[in-house]
Amino acid sequence: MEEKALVLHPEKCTGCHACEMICSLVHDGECNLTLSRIGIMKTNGGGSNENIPIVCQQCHDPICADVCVMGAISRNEETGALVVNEDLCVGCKTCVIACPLGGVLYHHIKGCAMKCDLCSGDPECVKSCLYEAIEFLTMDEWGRKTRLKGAENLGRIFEMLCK
Amino acid sequence: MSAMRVVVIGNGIAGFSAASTIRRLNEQCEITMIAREAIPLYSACVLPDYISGKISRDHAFVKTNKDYSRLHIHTYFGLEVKEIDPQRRTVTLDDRRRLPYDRLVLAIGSDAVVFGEHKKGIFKLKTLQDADEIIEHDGNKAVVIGAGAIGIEIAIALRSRGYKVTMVEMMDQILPLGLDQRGADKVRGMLEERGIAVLNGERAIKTLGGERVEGLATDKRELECDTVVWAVGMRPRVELARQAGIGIGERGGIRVDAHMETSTSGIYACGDCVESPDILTGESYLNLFWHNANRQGAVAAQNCIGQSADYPGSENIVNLDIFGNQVAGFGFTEEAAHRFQDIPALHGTLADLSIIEHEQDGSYYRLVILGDRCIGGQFINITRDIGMLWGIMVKRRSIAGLLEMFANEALMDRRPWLHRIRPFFRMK
Amino acid sequence: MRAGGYAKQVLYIDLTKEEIKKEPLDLDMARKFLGGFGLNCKFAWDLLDPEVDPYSPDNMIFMGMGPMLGTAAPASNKHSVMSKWPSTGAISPGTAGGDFGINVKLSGYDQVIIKGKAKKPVYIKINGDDVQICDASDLWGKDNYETTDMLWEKHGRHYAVIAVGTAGERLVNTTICLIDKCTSWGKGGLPAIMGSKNLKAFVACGNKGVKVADPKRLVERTRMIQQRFESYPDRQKLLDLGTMDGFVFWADIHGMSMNNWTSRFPTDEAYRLYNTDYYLENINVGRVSDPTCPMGCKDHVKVQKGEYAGTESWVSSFYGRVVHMAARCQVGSYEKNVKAQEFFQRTGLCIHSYTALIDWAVELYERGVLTKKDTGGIELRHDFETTMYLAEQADRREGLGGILSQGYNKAIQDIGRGCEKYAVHVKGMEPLYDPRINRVSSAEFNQVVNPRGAHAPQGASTLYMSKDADPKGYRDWLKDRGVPTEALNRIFPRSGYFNIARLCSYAEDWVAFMNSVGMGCLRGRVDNFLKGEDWSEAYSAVTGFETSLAELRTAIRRCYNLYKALNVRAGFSRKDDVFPDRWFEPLETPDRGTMVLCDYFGTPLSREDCNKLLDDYYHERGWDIETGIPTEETLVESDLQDVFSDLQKSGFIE
Repeated sequence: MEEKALVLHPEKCTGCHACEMICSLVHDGECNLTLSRIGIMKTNGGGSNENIPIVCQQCHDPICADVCVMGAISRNEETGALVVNEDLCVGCKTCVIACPLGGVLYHHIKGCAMKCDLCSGDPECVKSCLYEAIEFLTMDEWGRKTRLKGAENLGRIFEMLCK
Repeated sequence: MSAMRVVVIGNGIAGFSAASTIRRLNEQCEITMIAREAIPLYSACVLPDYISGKISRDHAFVKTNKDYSRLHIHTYFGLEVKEIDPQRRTVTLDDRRRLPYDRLVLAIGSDAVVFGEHKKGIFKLKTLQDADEIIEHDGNKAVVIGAGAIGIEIAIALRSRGYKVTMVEMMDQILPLGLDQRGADKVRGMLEERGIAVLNGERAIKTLGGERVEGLATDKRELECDTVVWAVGMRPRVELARQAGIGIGERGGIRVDAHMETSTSGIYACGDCVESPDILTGESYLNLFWHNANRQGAVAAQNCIGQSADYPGSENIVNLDIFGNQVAGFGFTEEAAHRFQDIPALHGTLADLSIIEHEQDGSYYRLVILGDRCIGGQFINITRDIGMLWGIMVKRRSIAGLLEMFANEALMDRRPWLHRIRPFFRMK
Repeated sequence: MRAGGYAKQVLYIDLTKEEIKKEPLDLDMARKFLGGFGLNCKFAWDLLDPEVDPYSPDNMIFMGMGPMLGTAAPASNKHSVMSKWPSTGAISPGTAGGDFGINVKLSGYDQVIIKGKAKKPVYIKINGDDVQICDASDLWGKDNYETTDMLWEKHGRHYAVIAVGTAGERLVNTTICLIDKCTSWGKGGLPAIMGSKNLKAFVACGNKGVKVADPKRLVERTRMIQQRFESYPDRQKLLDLGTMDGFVFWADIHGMSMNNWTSRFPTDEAYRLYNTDYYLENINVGRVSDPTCPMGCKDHVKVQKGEYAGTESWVSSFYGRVVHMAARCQVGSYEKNVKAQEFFQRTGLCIHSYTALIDWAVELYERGVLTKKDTGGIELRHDFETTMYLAEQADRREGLGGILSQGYNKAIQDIGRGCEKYAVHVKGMEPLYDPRINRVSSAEFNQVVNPRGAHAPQGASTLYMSKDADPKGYRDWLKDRGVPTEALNRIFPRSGYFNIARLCSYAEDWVAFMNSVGMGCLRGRVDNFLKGEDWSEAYSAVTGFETSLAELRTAIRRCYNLYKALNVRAGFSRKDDVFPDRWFEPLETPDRGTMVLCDYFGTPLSREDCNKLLDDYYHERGWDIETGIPTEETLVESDLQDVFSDLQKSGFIE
């Protein structure tokens, strides 16, 4: 399956927690910010220029899987998601500590690692974010969008210079 | 041309990682694995959890026999390699069978260091069998020698089996490789609170008793006990390599290059048996951790089959659960910075050493900063965002540059994730 | 099926005894009174002395987190507070979005009830089972922003903070609390009540979950509602402008008046000063959303240039804040407007309430009722300087500003000299909408009958329907919200006409309902995208109690009757539901000639006509027309026999 990723746009995030609520709801049957695989970190008053959504980026070379002493984190070939095998996981939290993105968390009820599993290929958070701060894109789409954004920026700079 | 024959000696994580990576990258290769233990891969790191009863014996296994057949790995389990012949490219097993190879991967691991004669009731903890023996043993008063990460985990495991536990540590603090004094004292407090006695600055001299251990003599006293567990460290198993003329490093591990290749062409080594460059200093060091072995195995595998890959260096991360308190440390402690002050790659002198530390509501952290770079961190009851600090350390980011960035809103807007580590530097 | 929604626990905090108690929530009672606002009424009825002095340690603060609060359902963020308000003496609610409610709910509490008075400044920390009364000595004297920053510094930004500004500490009652520097809560003096209890702040961080009885059903319904928002063609425009779409869509229709209700706002100058392009380029820097709100309409604003560059504020209903500063204080430029707002936000002064008092004071000064002797030597004008001068005085609670800051009821007594003639208020609280401009619509009428005082939103469910809209829209809306046919026939007795007073009672119910279950919002037009069945579906899915819209409506009618009864016991009756005199004076406008009070269809209304509307309102509610007190029949029908007996025993009902 083609590699896809959750692409986050912090500048669009209004901090509404909708992604976190739906994430914990579909995974654990309850709405619980501490059980959400995706998280919004707010700074200051929590405006759309001040919030940072954080979720596992399904790294190509994942440190979480490397440090796991049980080999409990592996890639689901169908969805491309790195998933935690909850039967293997012993809850030592080393992956939580090692991930530089804060993408792996600890499920304090199940006592094991928890992370984004891309909802079997159809992420609920993307559908729930009405501010379009989360997109689920193939690498191609992502690249194109990034370039487009760069081009817009260049255009703006050019405009400014012309003034 | 017939398929390449790869022989992997050792079925720890390094060996398995090497074998499975080769299989992932190449379906034709003939992979043979030889291992002393006749069981599939298990995690030595979780043995204390098995001893304490937190997990079952089965739970300690990472792989099943099926996984090996699925990956088409021929296994010679329960056998030991007696000899390597680099000229003829063969290995000889203890049943005298001789196996040819095109590439050889040594993942023979390490042994727990034990001093003195063996008595009933004296243990180490390295293999599943060691753990089984500890569980079968009927004792109630234990002394654990060595208060590093493994020693502490063993002490906690024995405590939860109902043992009365005393730890004896030569150094003035526990966890000498992971924490500085202040953090170590906190952890010591957590242990003592749960009934584990800790004797720092005390050296074990010899075990007492006849056939059965009855006590331990230290340089300060005699401790009565029916169980002694050695946890003073691990030593790479290098005899086999030495005999084959493979180069051994200053630290006592097999010497390898960035491709994990030994001094003998065609022979690779990975895992606890090698010494590897530290990611921060580049100095060769024994960083015997699961994740390093895991990565080394993968790098060795890639080079084995002709795909060039470099090993970036080893990282030391200590992570312990002390009765529900999360204790983590990485990089250099302040104490270690003193010890390794001559290493040029540290880029600084002790005069430039500074500390950022903060304590609040049962959580504590300490960052060790040398010159303009963070070279280590210690954390108690903080788990989130340590990984990012670690990343910054490994990338050798300038602290002054970071602070400048923290103060500049426009820059922070473009790197919002940095907000997350801002609090560590006592910034809003 | 497992029950969900309710956390099933009530948190009692006694500041005098420094005692924290957790007791199970009676689920039968919860279903009867829904939660949030409704349960607050029930607890207040059971526990609060109706004659208590608002500043007494015996006054209580009831915080209600409804069953939907803290779930994935869209806009499920409304938490409600109830207390005896010092500005009006009414026992009434305040509602907010913001992160506080969900964090209390996620800590495992449906209700938080606070009483007593701490010996020294404290704040309350709620983190799941860990509830503490903490020392706040270092926070005392700090403004809202500083307090919030210090608490975040101490506990981490993941805590939601409610802070009391400096004005609240000095028991100024035209004040409001701020949640996370932004969301306002408790107009009418919640900060003053907290101040009187030496309670500087709350911090909350939820580490538990809200159980959902049928997750799949909730996800489906949530998705359905979200799609309605997504497919709305003007969505992006609304998101860009937030509430400032008011200047595009409503300002003209729902005009306020200015110069103390003697001329119409917005003026041409206001349109010029506060145009949306300027706002987007130079003022707005970000959008803030309440939990799970699809229409995040709150503003992060920051002045970009000029003398006040760098002035920063996070505000709910920025439009409301801007027009209050513009209409009532005429502060001038956008930058000054934001600067003044920031001062109000920091000190905790309520922009809605206190600007009205400033407006009134300026008229009193112009008429010579107030002189320089009263003002401390300055001339009172509609400008930035006067506004800041009076606001600073209010914050310090000294001079004329200090007198005004205690609200109409107290200020009228303190100033005397016939000043009440020029005071436009109901029960001591200032109205917002001028019914001479938008005619007597639901929101306008509610300002008179709202037990809280002239607080507009309670009746504002139909606010967003223009006065020229087809009344059929109102009928459809009411029908969708489960209003029974016989009531619809009373509201719409003949084609082309409807009775606004009768309609208003159902609009009020709806807002009370949303505040009770903790889901839905009027602002950002959220309510327009939701259907009545969404609530019954979502409520049933979350709680596991299969409940129809009609049953929910019965419950909320019960809550509202209890709310009224609470205030009957506190001494309120029909005599307090008075249309302000000034509404009967003609309003001269340059562009639309003379505007007078008239009904929806443009028929002028006399005071007698208005009294007739009041009759209709009480009749529709089943309250006594003479006294405005719920009748025995109504109370018994609402299953509130005990309330009836109590009112009868106390002599309020014969």
